[in-house]
Amino acid sequence: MFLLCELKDIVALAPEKFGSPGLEAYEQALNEKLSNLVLHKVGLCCALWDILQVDEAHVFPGDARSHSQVRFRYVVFRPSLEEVLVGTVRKCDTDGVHVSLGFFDDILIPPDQLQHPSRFENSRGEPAWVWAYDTGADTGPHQLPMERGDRLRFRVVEELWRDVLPGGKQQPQQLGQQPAAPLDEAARLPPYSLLGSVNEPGLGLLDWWSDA
Amino acid sequence: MQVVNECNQVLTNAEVYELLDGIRKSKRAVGQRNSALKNLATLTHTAHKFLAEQTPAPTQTSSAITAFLTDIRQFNLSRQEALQLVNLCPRSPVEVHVIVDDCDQRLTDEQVQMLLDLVAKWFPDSSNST
Repeated sequence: MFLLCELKDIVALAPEKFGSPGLEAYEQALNEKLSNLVLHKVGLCCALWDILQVDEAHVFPGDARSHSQVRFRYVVFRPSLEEVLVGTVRKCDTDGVHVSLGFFDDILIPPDQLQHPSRFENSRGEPAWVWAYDTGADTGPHQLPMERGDRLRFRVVEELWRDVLPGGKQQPQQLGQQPAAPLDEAARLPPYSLLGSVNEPGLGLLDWWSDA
Repeated sequence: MQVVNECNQVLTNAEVYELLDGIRKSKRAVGQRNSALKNLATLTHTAHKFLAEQTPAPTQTSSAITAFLTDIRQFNLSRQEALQLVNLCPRSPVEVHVIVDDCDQRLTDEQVQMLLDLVAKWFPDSSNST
Protein backbone atom coordinates (compact mmCIF):
# COMPACT_ATOMS: atom_id res chain seq x y z
CA MET A 1 0.00 0.00 0.00
CA PHE A 2 2.99 2.30 0.13
CA LEU A 3 4.98 3.46 -2.83
CA LEU A 4 7.84 5.83 -3.56
CA CYS A 5 7.00 8.92 -5.55
CA GLU A 6 9.78 10.94 -7.15
CA LEU A 7 9.14 14.67 -6.80
CA LYS A 8 10.94 17.88 -7.62
CA ASP A 9 10.53 21.12 -5.68
CA ILE A 10 12.31 24.33 -4.77
CA VAL A 11 13.36 24.46 -1.14
CA ALA A 12 14.14 27.79 0.49
CA LEU A 13 16.41 27.69 3.51
CA ALA A 14 16.54 30.52 6.02
CA PRO A 15 20.05 31.73 7.01
CA GLU A 16 19.87 30.18 10.47
CA LYS A 17 19.76 26.77 8.77
CA PHE A 18 22.92 27.31 6.72
CA GLY A 19 25.12 25.68 9.34
CA SER A 20 23.11 22.44 9.56
CA PRO A 21 25.07 19.27 8.84
CA GLY A 22 24.67 17.59 5.47
CA LEU A 23 21.17 17.52 4.02
CA GLU A 24 19.38 17.76 7.35
CA ALA A 25 17.91 21.19 6.66
CA TYR A 26 16.53 20.07 3.29
CA GLU A 27 15.04 16.92 4.82
CA GLN A 28 13.37 18.91 7.53
CA ALA A 29 11.97 21.45 5.07
CA LEU A 30 10.52 18.73 2.84
CA ASN A 31 8.97 16.85 5.76
CA GLU A 32 7.48 20.07 7.10
CA LYS A 33 5.95 20.79 3.73
CA LEU A 34 4.54 17.39 2.76
CA SER A 35 4.15 15.01 5.68
CA ASN A 36 0.58 13.86 6.47
CA LEU A 37 -0.84 15.84 3.56
CA VAL A 38 -2.59 14.60 0.43
CA LEU A 39 -1.12 15.40 -2.98
CA HIS A 40 -3.87 15.36 -5.59
CA LYS A 41 -3.77 12.17 -7.71
CA VAL A 42 -0.60 11.05 -5.92
CA GLY A 43 -1.71 9.95 -2.43
CA LEU A 44 -1.17 10.61 1.25
CA CYS A 45 2.44 11.73 1.74
CA CYS A 46 4.06 10.04 4.71
CA ALA A 47 7.77 10.73 5.09
CA LEU A 48 10.87 11.50 3.08
CA TRP A 49 12.70 8.44 1.77
CA ASP A 50 15.84 10.02 0.30
CA ILE A 51 17.17 13.03 -1.57
CA LEU A 52 18.43 12.27 -5.07
CA GLN A 53 19.84 15.59 -6.18
CA VAL A 54 20.23 19.15 -4.90
CA ASP A 55 20.92 21.77 -7.55
CA GLU A 56 23.03 24.83 -6.89
CA ALA A 57 21.59 27.41 -4.53
CA HIS A 58 20.47 30.88 -5.59
CA VAL A 59 19.93 33.96 -3.48
CA PHE A 60 17.47 36.56 -4.75
CA PRO A 61 17.57 40.29 -4.02
CA GLY A 62 15.53 41.27 -0.97
CA ASP A 63 15.29 37.64 0.24
CA ALA A 64 17.97 36.27 2.55
CA ARG A 65 16.97 32.64 1.98
CA SER A 66 18.86 30.32 -0.32
CA HIS A 67 16.71 28.59 -2.94
CA SER A 68 17.64 25.27 -4.54
CA GLN A 69 15.77 22.81 -6.64
CA VAL A 70 15.70 19.43 -4.94
CA ARG A 71 14.82 16.07 -6.51
CA PHE A 72 13.72 13.53 -3.88
CA ARG A 73 11.65 10.45 -3.23
CA TYR A 74 8.75 10.48 -0.80
CA VAL A 75 6.89 7.56 0.77
CA VAL A 76 3.26 7.84 -0.29
CA PHE A 77 0.28 5.84 0.89
CA ARG A 78 -1.83 4.86 -2.09
CA PRO A 79 -3.17 1.31 -2.19
CA SER A 80 -3.61 -0.02 -5.72
CA LEU A 81 -7.06 -1.03 -6.94
CA GLU A 82 -8.05 -4.61 -6.05
CA GLU A 83 -5.50 -4.61 -3.23
CA VAL A 84 -6.55 -6.34 -0.02
CA LEU A 85 -6.02 -4.48 3.26
CA VAL A 86 -6.75 -5.12 6.93
CA GLY A 87 -8.33 -2.30 8.96
CA THR A 88 -10.59 -1.57 11.93
CA VAL A 89 -14.25 -0.60 11.83
CA ARG A 90 -14.49 3.05 12.86
CA LYS A 91 -18.28 3.42 12.75
CA CYS A 92 -21.37 2.04 11.05
CA ASP A 93 -24.13 4.19 9.65
CA THR A 94 -26.59 4.24 6.78
CA ASP A 95 -23.79 5.20 4.36
CA GLY A 96 -22.07 1.90 5.07
CA VAL A 97 -19.14 0.71 7.16
CA HIS A 98 -16.39 3.27 7.79
CA VAL A 99 -12.95 1.66 8.16
CA SER A 100 -9.83 3.17 9.66
CA LEU A 101 -6.16 2.31 9.31
CA GLY A 102 -5.06 4.51 12.22
CA PHE A 103 -3.20 6.98 10.04
CA PHE A 104 -5.86 7.02 7.31
CA ASP A 105 -9.56 7.13 8.13
CA ASP A 106 -11.40 7.86 4.90
CA ILE A 107 -12.34 4.37 3.81
CA LEU A 108 -15.96 3.47 3.23
CA ILE A 109 -17.58 0.17 2.38
CA PRO A 110 -20.95 1.09 0.87
CA PRO A 111 -23.97 -1.14 1.57
CA ASP A 112 -23.98 -2.73 -1.89
CA GLN A 113 -20.40 -3.97 -1.36
CA LEU A 114 -21.13 -5.79 1.89
CA GLN A 115 -21.71 -9.53 2.02
CA HIS A 116 -25.22 -10.38 0.81
CA PRO A 117 -27.65 -10.18 2.49
CA SER A 118 -26.74 -7.49 5.03
CA ARG A 119 -28.96 -5.08 6.92
CA PHE A 120 -28.41 -2.04 9.14
CA GLU A 121 -29.39 -2.41 12.77
CA ASN A 122 -29.48 0.29 15.42
CA SER A 123 -31.54 -1.49 18.00
CA ARG A 124 -28.88 -2.51 20.51
CA GLY A 125 -27.44 0.95 21.09
CA GLU A 126 -24.39 0.29 18.96
CA PRO A 127 -25.19 0.76 15.25
CA ALA A 128 -24.03 -2.21 13.22
CA TRP A 129 -24.31 -3.84 9.83
CA VAL A 130 -25.36 -7.44 10.18
CA TRP A 131 -24.70 -10.16 7.63
CA ALA A 132 -27.36 -12.87 7.63
CA TYR A 133 -25.25 -15.86 6.60
CA ASP A 134 -27.44 -18.73 5.47
CA THR A 135 -25.77 -22.03 6.33
CA GLY A 136 -28.76 -24.02 5.08
CA ALA A 137 -29.35 -25.32 8.61
CA ASP A 138 -32.84 -25.48 10.07
CA THR A 139 -32.05 -22.87 12.70
CA GLY A 140 -32.08 -20.15 10.07
CA PRO A 141 -29.25 -17.82 8.99
CA HIS A 142 -26.36 -16.91 11.34
CA GLN A 143 -26.41 -13.26 12.32
CA LEU A 144 -22.90 -11.86 11.95
CA PRO A 145 -22.61 -8.21 13.05
CA MET A 146 -19.90 -5.73 12.02
CA GLU A 147 -19.41 -3.30 14.90
CA ARG A 148 -17.01 -0.55 15.92
CA GLY A 149 -13.59 -1.91 16.81
CA ASP A 150 -13.84 -5.10 14.77
CA ARG A 151 -10.89 -5.88 12.54
CA LEU A 152 -11.73 -6.70 8.96
CA ARG A 153 -10.17 -7.60 5.62
CA PHE A 154 -11.45 -5.67 2.61
CA ARG A 155 -10.55 -5.06 -1.03
CA VAL A 156 -10.01 -1.54 -2.42
CA VAL A 157 -12.35 -1.05 -5.38
CA GLU A 158 -12.24 2.66 -6.06
CA GLU A 159 -10.31 5.77 -5.12
CA LEU A 160 -12.00 9.18 -5.00
CA TRP A 161 -10.10 12.41 -5.46
CA ARG A 162 -11.57 15.79 -4.60
CA ASP A 163 -9.67 18.98 -5.29
CA VAL A 164 -10.30 20.99 -2.12
CA LEU A 165 -9.93 24.76 -1.97
CA PRO A 166 -7.32 26.09 0.48
CA GLY A 167 -8.77 26.75 3.95
CA GLY A 168 -12.10 25.16 3.01
CA LYS A 169 -13.71 28.57 3.36
CA GLN A 170 -16.83 29.92 1.72
CA GLN A 171 -17.12 33.41 0.26
CA PRO A 172 -16.20 36.17 2.78
CA GLN A 173 -19.17 37.54 4.75
CA GLN A 174 -20.05 41.22 4.70
CA LEU A 175 -20.55 43.36 7.82
CA GLY A 176 -24.04 43.17 9.30
CA GLN A 177 -24.92 39.87 7.68
CA GLN A 178 -25.70 36.67 9.55
CA PRO A 179 -22.68 34.48 10.18
CA ALA A 180 -22.05 32.17 7.24
CA ALA A 181 -23.92 28.88 7.38
CA PRO A 182 -21.82 25.85 8.33
CA LEU A 183 -19.94 24.27 5.45
CA ASP A 184 -22.15 21.88 3.57
CA GLU A 185 -21.21 18.21 3.32
CA ALA A 186 -19.70 18.53 -0.14
CA ALA A 187 -17.12 21.06 1.06
CA ARG A 188 -16.13 18.88 4.02
CA LEU A 189 -15.38 15.74 2.02
CA PRO A 190 -11.81 14.49 2.24
CA PRO A 191 -9.36 15.08 -0.64
CA TYR A 192 -8.57 11.38 -0.95
CA SER A 193 -10.88 8.57 0.04
CA LEU A 194 -11.27 4.92 -0.80
CA LEU A 195 -14.24 2.69 -1.43
CA GLY A 196 -13.88 -0.90 -0.35
CA SER A 197 -15.69 -4.18 -0.76
CA VAL A 198 -16.12 -7.23 1.46
CA ASN A 199 -18.43 -9.07 -0.92
CA GLU A 200 -16.25 -12.15 -1.41
CA PRO A 201 -15.33 -15.32 0.46
CA GLY A 202 -12.43 -14.52 2.73
CA LEU A 203 -13.31 -10.83 3.14
CA GLY A 204 -15.08 -9.25 6.09
CA LEU A 205 -14.30 -9.64 9.77
CA LEU A 206 -11.15 -11.65 10.44
CA ASP A 207 -13.07 -13.74 12.97
CA TRP A 208 -15.51 -14.95 10.32
CA TRP A 209 -12.79 -16.80 8.42
CA SER A 210 -10.30 -17.82 11.10
CA ASP A 211 -9.85 -21.50 11.74
CA ALA A 212 -10.87 -21.34 15.41
CA MET B 1 6.14 21.02 -6.83
CA GLN B 2 6.44 18.70 -9.76
CA VAL B 3 5.81 14.99 -9.92
CA VAL B 4 8.68 13.37 -11.81
CA ASN B 5 7.59 9.77 -11.36
CA GLU B 6 4.29 8.91 -9.73
CA CYS B 7 5.42 5.44 -8.81
CA ASN B 8 9.16 5.04 -8.74
CA GLN B 9 9.02 1.89 -6.64
CA VAL B 10 6.57 -0.08 -4.51
CA LEU B 11 7.46 -0.61 -0.85
CA THR B 12 6.61 -3.41 1.55
CA ASN B 13 5.11 -2.50 4.91
CA ALA B 14 8.31 -3.75 6.52
CA GLU B 15 10.44 -1.17 4.69
CA VAL B 16 8.11 1.66 5.68
CA TYR B 17 8.09 0.41 9.25
CA GLU B 18 11.88 0.50 9.30
CA LEU B 19 11.89 4.08 8.01
CA LEU B 20 9.35 5.25 10.58
CA ASP B 21 11.24 3.47 13.34
CA GLY B 22 14.40 5.30 12.31
CA ILE B 23 12.59 8.65 12.36
CA ARG B 24 11.19 8.01 15.84
CA LYS B 25 14.55 6.90 17.23
CA SER B 26 16.43 9.88 15.78
CA LYS B 27 13.86 12.32 17.15
CA ARG B 28 14.08 10.76 20.59
CA ALA B 29 17.86 10.90 20.54
CA VAL B 30 17.93 14.56 19.63
CA GLY B 31 15.08 15.44 21.98
CA GLN B 32 13.56 17.51 19.23
CA ARG B 33 10.31 19.33 19.80
CA ASN B 34 9.93 21.27 16.62
CA SER B 35 6.30 22.34 16.38
CA ALA B 36 6.61 22.80 12.65
CA LEU B 37 7.15 19.04 12.32
CA LYS B 38 3.84 18.31 14.06
CA ASN B 39 2.42 16.67 10.94
CA LEU B 40 5.39 14.35 10.61
CA ALA B 41 5.09 13.45 14.29
CA THR B 42 1.37 12.68 13.97
CA LEU B 43 1.82 10.57 10.89
CA THR B 44 4.89 8.74 12.20
CA HIS B 45 3.15 7.92 15.45
CA THR B 46 -0.14 6.70 13.93
CA ALA B 47 1.41 4.81 11.01
CA HIS B 48 4.06 3.21 13.23
CA LYS B 49 1.35 2.13 15.67
CA PHE B 50 -0.77 0.65 12.89
CA LEU B 51 2.14 -1.25 11.34
CA ALA B 52 3.41 -2.47 14.71
CA GLU B 53 0.09 -3.64 16.10
CA GLN B 54 -1.89 -4.74 13.07
CA THR B 55 0.61 -6.09 10.56
CA PRO B 56 3.47 -8.56 10.72
CA ALA B 57 5.86 -5.83 9.48
CA PRO B 58 8.00 -5.39 12.65
CA THR B 59 9.18 -9.00 12.61
CA GLN B 60 10.01 -9.11 8.89
CA THR B 61 13.66 -8.73 7.92
CA SER B 62 14.77 -7.81 4.41
CA SER B 63 16.71 -11.08 4.08
CA ALA B 64 13.61 -13.09 4.94
CA ILE B 65 11.57 -11.12 2.43
CA THR B 66 14.17 -11.63 -0.32
CA ALA B 67 14.38 -15.35 0.43
CA PHE B 68 10.60 -15.67 0.42
CA LEU B 69 10.28 -13.86 -2.92
CA THR B 70 12.92 -16.17 -4.43
CA ASP B 71 11.11 -19.24 -3.15
CA ILE B 72 7.72 -18.23 -4.57
CA ARG B 73 9.03 -17.55 -8.08
CA GLN B 74 7.98 -21.05 -9.08
CA PHE B 75 4.30 -20.06 -8.72
CA ASN B 76 4.45 -17.29 -11.38
CA LEU B 77 2.63 -14.73 -9.27
CA SER B 78 2.43 -11.08 -10.25
CA ARG B 79 4.41 -8.43 -8.36
CA GLN B 80 1.25 -7.14 -6.75
CA GLU B 81 0.29 -10.62 -5.51
CA ALA B 82 3.79 -11.27 -4.15
CA LEU B 83 3.75 -7.90 -2.36
CA GLN B 84 0.39 -8.69 -0.77
CA LEU B 85 1.62 -12.09 0.38
CA VAL B 86 4.48 -10.37 2.20
CA ASN B 87 2.29 -7.63 3.66
CA LEU B 88 -0.61 -9.81 4.72
CA CYS B 89 1.11 -13.14 5.62
CA PRO B 90 -1.87 -15.40 4.97
CA ARG B 91 -2.26 -18.31 7.37
CA SER B 92 -5.14 -20.18 5.71
CA PRO B 93 -6.09 -21.21 2.15
CA VAL B 94 -9.07 -18.83 1.99
CA GLU B 95 -6.72 -15.87 2.54
CA VAL B 96 -4.51 -17.06 -0.34
CA HIS B 97 -7.56 -17.30 -2.58
CA VAL B 98 -8.41 -13.69 -1.77
CA ILE B 99 -4.91 -12.48 -2.66
CA VAL B 100 -4.26 -14.52 -5.82
CA ASP B 101 -6.55 -13.84 -8.80
CA ASP B 102 -8.21 -16.93 -10.30
CA CYS B 103 -6.49 -19.02 -7.67
CA ASP B 104 -8.55 -22.12 -8.53
CA GLN B 105 -7.21 -22.15 -12.07
CA ARG B 106 -3.63 -21.15 -11.38
CA LEU B 107 -2.73 -23.07 -8.23
CA THR B 108 -3.59 -26.56 -7.01
CA ASP B 109 -4.46 -27.19 -3.37
CA GLU B 110 -0.96 -28.60 -2.83
CA GLN B 111 0.60 -25.45 -4.23
CA VAL B 112 -1.57 -23.28 -1.98
CA GLN B 113 -0.39 -25.33 0.98
CA MET B 114 3.23 -24.95 -0.20
CA LEU B 115 2.71 -21.18 -0.29
CA LEU B 116 1.33 -21.20 3.24
CA ASP B 117 4.28 -23.30 4.41
CA LEU B 118 6.72 -20.82 2.86
CA VAL B 119 4.93 -17.92 4.58
CA ALA B 120 5.10 -19.76 7.89
CA LYS B 121 8.78 -20.59 7.32
CA TRP B 122 9.99 -17.07 6.55
CA PHE B 123 7.46 -15.08 8.59
CA PRO B 124 6.61 -17.18 11.65
CA ASP B 125 3.44 -16.25 13.45
CA SER B 126 4.08 -13.95 16.39
CA SER B 127 0.33 -14.03 17.11
CA ASN B 128 -0.17 -10.32 17.69
CA SER B 129 -1.07 -9.68 14.06
CA THR B 130 -3.57 -11.21 11.61
